[in-house]
Amino acid sequence: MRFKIYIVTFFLFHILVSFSQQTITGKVTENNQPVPYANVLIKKINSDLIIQYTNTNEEGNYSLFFNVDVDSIVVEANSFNYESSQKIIYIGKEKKITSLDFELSPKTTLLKEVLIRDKLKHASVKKDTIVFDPNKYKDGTERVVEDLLKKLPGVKVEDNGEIKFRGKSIKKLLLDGDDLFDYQYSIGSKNINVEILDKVEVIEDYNENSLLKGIKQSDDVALNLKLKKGKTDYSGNSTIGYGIENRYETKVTGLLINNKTKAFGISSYNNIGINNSPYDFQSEILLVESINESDLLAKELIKQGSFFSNLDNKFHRINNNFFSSINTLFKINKKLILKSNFSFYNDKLIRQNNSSTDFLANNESFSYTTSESLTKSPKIFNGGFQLLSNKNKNLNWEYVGKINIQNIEYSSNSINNNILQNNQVSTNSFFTKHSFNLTKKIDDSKALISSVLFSKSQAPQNYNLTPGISIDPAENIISNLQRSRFDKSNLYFKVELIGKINKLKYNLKLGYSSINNNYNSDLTYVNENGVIVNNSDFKNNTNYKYYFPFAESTLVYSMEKISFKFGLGSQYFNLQLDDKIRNKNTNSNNLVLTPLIKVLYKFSNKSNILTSYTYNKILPDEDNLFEGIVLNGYRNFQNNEVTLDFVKTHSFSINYSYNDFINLNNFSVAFFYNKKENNYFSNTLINTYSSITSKFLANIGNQDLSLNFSGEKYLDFIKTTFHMDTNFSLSFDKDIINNSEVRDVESRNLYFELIARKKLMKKVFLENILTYNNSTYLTETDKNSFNSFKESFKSVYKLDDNVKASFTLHCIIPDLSIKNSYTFIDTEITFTSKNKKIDYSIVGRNLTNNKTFETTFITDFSKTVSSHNLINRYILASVSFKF
Amino acid sequence: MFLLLFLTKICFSQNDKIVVTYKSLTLDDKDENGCILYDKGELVTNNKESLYTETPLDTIVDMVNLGTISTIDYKYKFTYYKDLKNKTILQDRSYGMKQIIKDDNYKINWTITKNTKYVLSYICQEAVGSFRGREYKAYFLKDIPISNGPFKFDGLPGLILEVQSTDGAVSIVATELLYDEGDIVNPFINIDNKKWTDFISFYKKYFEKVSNHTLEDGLSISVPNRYIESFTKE
Repeated sequence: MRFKIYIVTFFLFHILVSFSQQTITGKVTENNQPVPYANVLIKKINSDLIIQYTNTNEEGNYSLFFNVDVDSIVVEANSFNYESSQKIIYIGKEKKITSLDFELSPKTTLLKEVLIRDKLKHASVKKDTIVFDPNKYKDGTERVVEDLLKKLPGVKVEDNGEIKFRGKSIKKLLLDGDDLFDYQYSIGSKNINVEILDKVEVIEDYNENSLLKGIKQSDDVALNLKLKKGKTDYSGNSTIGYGIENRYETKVTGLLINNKTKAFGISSYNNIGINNSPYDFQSEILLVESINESDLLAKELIKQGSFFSNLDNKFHRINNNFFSSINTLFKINKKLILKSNFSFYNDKLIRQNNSSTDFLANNESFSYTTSESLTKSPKIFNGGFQLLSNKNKNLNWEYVGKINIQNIEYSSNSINNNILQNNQVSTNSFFTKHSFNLTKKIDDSKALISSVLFSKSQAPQNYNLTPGISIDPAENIISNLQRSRFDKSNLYFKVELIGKINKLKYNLKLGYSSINNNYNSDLTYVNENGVIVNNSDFKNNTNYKYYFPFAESTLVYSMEKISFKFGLGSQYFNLQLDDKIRNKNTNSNNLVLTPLIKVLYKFSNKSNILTSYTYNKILPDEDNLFEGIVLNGYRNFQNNEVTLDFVKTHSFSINYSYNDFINLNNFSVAFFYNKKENNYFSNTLINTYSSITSKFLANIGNQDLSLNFSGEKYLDFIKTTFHMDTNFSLSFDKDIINNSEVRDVESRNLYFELIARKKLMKKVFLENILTYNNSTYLTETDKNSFNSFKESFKSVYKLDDNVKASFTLHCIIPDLSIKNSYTFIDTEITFTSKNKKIDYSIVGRNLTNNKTFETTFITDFSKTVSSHNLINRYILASVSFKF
Repeated sequence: MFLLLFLTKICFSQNDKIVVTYKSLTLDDKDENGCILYDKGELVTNNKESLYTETPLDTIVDMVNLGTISTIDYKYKFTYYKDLKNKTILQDRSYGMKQIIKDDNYKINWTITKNTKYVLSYICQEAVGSFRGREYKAYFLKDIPISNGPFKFDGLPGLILEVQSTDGAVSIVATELLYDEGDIVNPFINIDNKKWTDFISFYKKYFEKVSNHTLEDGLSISVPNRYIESFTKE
């Protein structure tokens, strides 16, 4: 039935349209000359709509075939620069060919000139700030700020929460212009509810100090989250996980925001090697926060265990980590802000280290073994305050204060050559810092900054070793007590003028700095007769203070292809060292000039070359200035041959980089050369029982150079991307071992890494990393070298948007001459609920259940094979909710 | 948005030409091989030949498949020389081929409709047609009887002031229209050129090569297989 209706309809339609097929032909001319490419149009009478059209050919002829449902039509001929000509013709209903010629005349006409201005509505750019309207980018699935940021143009959020804008890591994440999180901003971006956002601003050329905008060159980028007015919100996130056996992971975070107050809190506990805090007691690597403060902190001399490993933390960090922190920001009035941070960190790190060392130098050789079972329990309380007035037109000020209290209890049982020893180290350090900064904007191209800083730090350590050791191997010691305490205070002020004149930016600094260090230490021991021995050779009471006025200037001149940076610093040092035990008083005055030059040349957008040279004179550190011997480990003593001389260094570098995105090639070559005119050297006395290291400064230069190559290339015929990194370094050093002459030590290190990546059908990703390392030490008589090899294979399967699985295999041969190898297998499966509010995951770590890991270390006089324990195999299931 | 209207009386001579400024946005996010182009297009045309140039405008756009792209740092100027008589285009936008490309197969079969639309306060008539992978609506102004338009769009009985693709990806809209005098010069005269078919085979090879390039964490680079015109389907 339906079929029939279709057929009927089709015929009706066909009849309707076929009754008026017509053709018009003709010629368009001007003064009997043909007008080529003229338009010939057909319109209905009283309508401006064109129904059909054609063009004349080179000879001015045209032919137009058309269908219309009326009797009469308008035919128009027109061409650029001609008056149009119109004719009405009657066409009737029969199919026919009509002939119609046109004569055109050149024309004069009226025309409207129109100017339209339109602008971008989703994002706007004001000087160096880009403003996004979140509503234009949201699709309704976003819950927290991070979800939105991922969608903003140019913004990328890394797995660890690091936010990048156009490839550059952002410096701050601001809330309504306020810096609540500092370096821990990812906690904020992962938790703040997106609904309270009004706008997101990207500030390039970000200056923390608003008055320096446009005056001081800054490459920093900050993101500012502008909140809806008057909104109050509470948002948070919680995770709970349990693993077999006895593995736990819990975390709760929350954020409170209203127009007067902003606050963020986190509390977490785990024993699977995760550290949510900004503190790290495992490695010697400085944290972002500590880099700025490293010159202000009192040093610690007594070692508290080695946690070094060639493996990732997740395999070997046996911890029991609790971290809790709260950041608040309170607006006292429109111009005055009070900020505070309180955090508490508590951890318990456990480790078992074993080592065996072969000593070989100066035709002498022997071996010793050590073993250490250690527990380190750090506790930290950190409190920070900031009061600032930064909304003024010409004058801003801020006060920043901080208190950090740390207690580290360290306990270990060590076996040094079959003698079991107990080590107890307790460190109670204290650090406080107060600074006041004032910025005065002189005009649009000049500003004056003045700062005052005061800091005080102390780090007393007590070390009990039972049974103890003595420098004399023949002596039997029942116990040692080593006390060691550095105190440091710092007073600093400066005035800085920064500004610009056209393409030249300048910076002039004048200031004064004064540092006062005290070091107190003494080693007492109880000998086998029960007598307490306290010798002045093992005592220090030094005061090291210095002050220096300084003047520094920097000029940056940039042109299109080339830019220069010149700097010159001058400091006049006055150093005083007072050794109260040995009654030595040393004074030294030193004028130090430190030049710097950098040149950047751009060959093209793809390639550039950067060279730099600096000369520096480095004053002695307080830990190079004590003469009395200090016991800093269960088999190590340390002291110095004291001098107030400076170390003179030259550094030169040249770097070429090439980036061709179109052809998928990029590579960079860098060469570094460092030369020291004089340097600290170690004079080490080593035997099976102990080692005594004495550092001295000698006018013997040393130098090192290194060459890096890094490149990436895609090979089409195997559809695989290769990435290669190589580094070769060579250094020429000196040392003294067991009363030898000064020995020349040459060390060579070659590192090679090759990565191959391939994707299969968009859902599977494969990556293979191959690493090879060779270290060689050469002296006149001896050679020490070892090779290691590592291979890791990773595959990721993305089943769909909600399910993702990964599998990783590591094969490691730490020393090719020993040929013991390790295999690690890791897997992870994550399932995300449809509304993205809940994540379920299962992690399997160290599935081959390796118990220990062994590595080799070499020096110019020894080779050590050391091993440490690992986190046992576990499988952990966790759930996390957003609220 | 605001409009400024002027009325000007102009006399024409033989070397008259028309200068149209367009805002040309191509935002194709159907899959990861789409693209974003945000250009200022300038068409200088008479009824024999024309030059169309594309220079980038600043924008930042977020897309589901392509992620976030900013054109703020883009610096280029591409030129298309069109010979209206012989129906050929010489273009230096070669998408990495670094050659002048000669395109002589770009004719669109338009169908005129009854719809009209105001563009720049002129009433323009609509025509529909398909061109290299997309369906388009074009709005032409019969009062300027030059069969030309932005990019490769032409062949209507009047100057095309607006082009919209029905998939929403391409939008080219005139923002300014001026009469001017002067000759139009072919900048690619005496320069070797490659055929359009040669370019297409070059680009298909390049596209395949880049698509298989794999970065860290399985990230891969996606390059467009289409801009205004598709390079993988004719």
